[in-house]
Amino acid sequence: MSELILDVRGLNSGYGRVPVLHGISFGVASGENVGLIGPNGHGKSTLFRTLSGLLRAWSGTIAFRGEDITNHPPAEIVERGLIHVPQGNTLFPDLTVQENLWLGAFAKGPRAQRLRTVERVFALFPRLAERRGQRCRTLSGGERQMVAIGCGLMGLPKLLILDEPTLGLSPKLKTELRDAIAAIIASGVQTIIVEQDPEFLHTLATRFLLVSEGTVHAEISGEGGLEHKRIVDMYFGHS
Amino acid sequence: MGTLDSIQLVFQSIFASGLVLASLYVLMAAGLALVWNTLGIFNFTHGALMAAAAYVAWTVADPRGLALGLAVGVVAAILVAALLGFIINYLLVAPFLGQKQIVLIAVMTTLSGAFFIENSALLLWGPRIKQLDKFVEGNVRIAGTTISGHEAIIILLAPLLMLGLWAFLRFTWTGSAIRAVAQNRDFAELSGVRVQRMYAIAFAIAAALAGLAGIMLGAIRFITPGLGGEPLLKALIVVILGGLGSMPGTVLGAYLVGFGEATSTYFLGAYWTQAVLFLVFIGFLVLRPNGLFGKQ
Ligand SMILES: Nc1ncnc2c1ncn2[C@@H]1O[C@H](COP(=O)(O)OP(=O)(O)OP(=O)(O)O)[C@@H](O)[C@H]1O
Ligand SMILES: [Mg+2]
Repeated sequence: MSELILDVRGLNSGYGRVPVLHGISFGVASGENVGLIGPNGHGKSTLFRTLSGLLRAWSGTIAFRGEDITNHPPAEIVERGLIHVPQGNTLFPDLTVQENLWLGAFAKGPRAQRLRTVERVFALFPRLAERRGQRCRTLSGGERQMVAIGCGLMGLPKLLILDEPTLGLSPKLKTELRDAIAAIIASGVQTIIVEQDPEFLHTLATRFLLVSEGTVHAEISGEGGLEHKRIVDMYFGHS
Repeated sequence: MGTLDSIQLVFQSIFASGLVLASLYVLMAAGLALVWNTLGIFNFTHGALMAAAAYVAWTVADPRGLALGLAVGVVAAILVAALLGFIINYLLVAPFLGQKQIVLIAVMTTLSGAFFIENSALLLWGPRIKQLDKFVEGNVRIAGTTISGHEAIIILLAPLLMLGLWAFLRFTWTGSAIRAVAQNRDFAELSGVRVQRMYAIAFAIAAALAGLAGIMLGAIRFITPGLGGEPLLKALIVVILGGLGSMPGTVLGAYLVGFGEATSTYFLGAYWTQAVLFLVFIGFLVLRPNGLFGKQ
């Protein structure tokens, strides 16, 4: 087995005294792209908030590229290259597209490279280049999602977490976004993608995890080919 | 002819005193608005910081103190104010951020901080009234009336400082990050912005602005521990009137309150003006609860 880029062990976390994650454990090997599926409200976003340091882990450990990052400050986790594009893409609503993207490159390393990175983002999402001076508040949902992913890329991620990037997008936009994510993966960035529609992940993910009730309930590895039907059975058979 | 001339005279003197007041209010309110905008709290030490800075400037500058001259005194006082702001944030605000009742908690912690600073000032400097030298001697004529050179400096300083603050927030990495934190704290953290650090910087800048306002006041009023009490109240009115934290709203609010106060003082006298000001303020809030530039 190859080295793990992310190693989560026995993670417990939640809000106030209400637990949401119940000892979740999983690993992401180098080169892997993980698709995460699971019913609403079962802790997918909570898992990512804990990984990126927004939420305290009550117990358990998170290791990224071999180093412990459990309960480290979010900025430090970002600087290490674990970047979380949150669900709902709220962004900085009164800042322009360009300003949002620059802030995505706030850390020292990415800041020095921002001019080169932003060209890559604009190549991926040409529409953002046209709208760079527009306030994010006035963007369409799809454009906002592009900015959110663009911000993630500006931070030069080694592992990019996308939390429901297709939420509320039209089928056409969804296809465009899938191609963009495929290009991101091809450029050498590993991803964890949450998605309600397994079809969307079909060509992107090499392995699927079903998260339910705050733990990994089942997983299907890519070896032997991903059988779409199995995923659908697993998903709908459960929820 | 006689009436026209006297109307012009009235207008001129209202304009001049209104402009001075308004500019003072800009200086007083800018920091308060910055903190409200960024951290979402009202900093009630703002007035005490004005007094503390005025005392420090006096001690450093005055021949009875260190006698280092006014310029050194001003710089020292602004630095001390910024440092105090940093400490206030660290002790009285930062530990409570993230609590649900943060607005109320911060009212209490910063109010007690204000009492602490004011009483410390009384202990350190005693009850003897002090006053700073004017920045410049002599008078300046504007719009047909005469104001002191010091007041002219206040009038110039207010827009310049606001321009500086705007440029800082607009064009620097730290300024952008401060605006970002104000708009979406979680997303700022996920972008690698150290949110606590930005809060501390915003707080220190606001305190420095309060310090500057205190220094300007300390040369036209007497320096007492309560120097900043009434200015704090005025700054609160200005910030709420402007739409809670909106910078353009705050500036507009400051000029409205300044000119309104000058007009009212001329016709009704200083005695009634404060009451009138509050009545108008309350009436305005009934009509526009979110102020001039407030959102929904
Ligand atoms: N800020 C919060 N405070 C309290 N409870 C919360 C908070 N955010 C989420 N929860 C609760 O935590 C549980 C898990 O939420 P989470 O957002 O992780 O689910 P999810 O799997 O991402 O769902 P979805 O697919 O709908 O995005 C839910 O019961 C939710 O109500
Ligand atoms: Mg979610």
